[in-house]
Amino acid sequence: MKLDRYWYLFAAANILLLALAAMVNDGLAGWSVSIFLAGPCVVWPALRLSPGRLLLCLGVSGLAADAALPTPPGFLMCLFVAGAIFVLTMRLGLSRVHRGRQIGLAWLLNAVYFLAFTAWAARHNLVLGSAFFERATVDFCLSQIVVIPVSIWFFDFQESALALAGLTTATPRAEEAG
Amino acid sequence: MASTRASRFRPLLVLALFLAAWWLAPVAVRRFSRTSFSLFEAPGWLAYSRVKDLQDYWSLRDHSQNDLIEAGRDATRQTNAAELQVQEEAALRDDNDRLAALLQMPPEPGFRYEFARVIRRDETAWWQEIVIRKGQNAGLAAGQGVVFAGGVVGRIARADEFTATVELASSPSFRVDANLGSDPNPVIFQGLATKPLEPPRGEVRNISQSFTLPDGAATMLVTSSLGGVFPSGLPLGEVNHLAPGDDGLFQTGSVNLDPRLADLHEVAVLVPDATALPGPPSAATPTPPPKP
Repeated sequence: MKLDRYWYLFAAANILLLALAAMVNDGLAGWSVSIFLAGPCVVWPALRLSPGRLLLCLGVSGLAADAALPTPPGFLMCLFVAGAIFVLTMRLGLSRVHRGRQIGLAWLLNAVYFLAFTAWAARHNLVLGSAFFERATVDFCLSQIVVIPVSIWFFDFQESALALAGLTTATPRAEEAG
Repeated sequence: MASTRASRFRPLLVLALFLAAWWLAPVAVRRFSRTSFSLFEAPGWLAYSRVKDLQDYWSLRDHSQNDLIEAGRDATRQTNAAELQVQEEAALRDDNDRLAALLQMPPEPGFRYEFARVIRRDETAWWQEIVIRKGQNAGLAAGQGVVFAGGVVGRIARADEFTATVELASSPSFRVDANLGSDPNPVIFQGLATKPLEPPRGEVRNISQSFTLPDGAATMLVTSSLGGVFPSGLPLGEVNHLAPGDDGLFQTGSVNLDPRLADLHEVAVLVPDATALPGPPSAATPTPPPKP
């Protein structure tokens, strides 16, 4: 598959998205709220790359994000890979024209990833009070609202990046597999 | 039919194998991957930090001369006040050294202060951290204390070559020995998750039942030198309410941390140094005028 040779474009886009989210959180720190935007990273690579390149793409972008997190090394990478396997297994009939379903999938994956991080923090933190869950709930709601417009932009951005590289995105992997 | 079913579960098998391979990978491999990616990303974040400094610099350039004159006048006043405090502190330190020598007390650990700009803040429900613009290249290491003009910032969680990650005092996994005011009994300070749109806070535990707060007045919670991370006497926050603890033996209290903790721009790292004098820093400020 021709797209496979350009797996690094997907990885670079993922790293860019996570870095932008970190910059936004830097600005939001004074208000004691934050956003989490990892869901959109998985959808397009899972739909368009072969399994080997998919692992490579998500491995690189996941480990790059993990380097800045206090979670165990590879935590986000394993979540990325699990999400991609979920997409491959379910074969939800996602296609280029069904952008709404892709956004829905990004929304769902973002929610699952957020809950996974919350579960890790709940196990790791020394004290869990009502403030922790209150803050987690607000961050979750904010993230799930923000992830929708961000997904729309991010998928368009990936499409533009591929178009700049002279590649077409007309045949998603799910459709190829039948 | 059977082969179709098997192919359907193949991705799950791949996932299981991948996770097993990662979990079984030697610690050195995982650490190497984290270090490599940190080093790879560091130049980007350093550039981001420099660009932010440049933005601040140009925004300050837009200020009128009158604003600059007023700022200079205020800075002069603060410098004069600080000089007086330094003289007073030197006299107190001499007294303290003399009394410690008389009582044959062991010397407190000395620190040198390594000042660093904040690159970015990562304050989520799960953890509260900042990344600073110095790392192992400046002698920083995991576990060292970090302070600013308002008191304790936190502790270095990870130190890479050019950057270091500081776990803030408001992080739920931060815990340190402390003292309530001048009470010599040690207590435990613990960070708490910050509620949305509220300033950072923490909790103090193991307070003796005999301890009471002065009527209507908050008591300052200060660091203890017991842990060896911070010198004694650095402010952690204010305690204005105590309640009986769950165990019935001790009291607990809510700690209001300095609100500037959520908006830091520069901090000082306490690097252990046997030749340095103990004592709080005097120059770290939360919002210094940046200059590229």
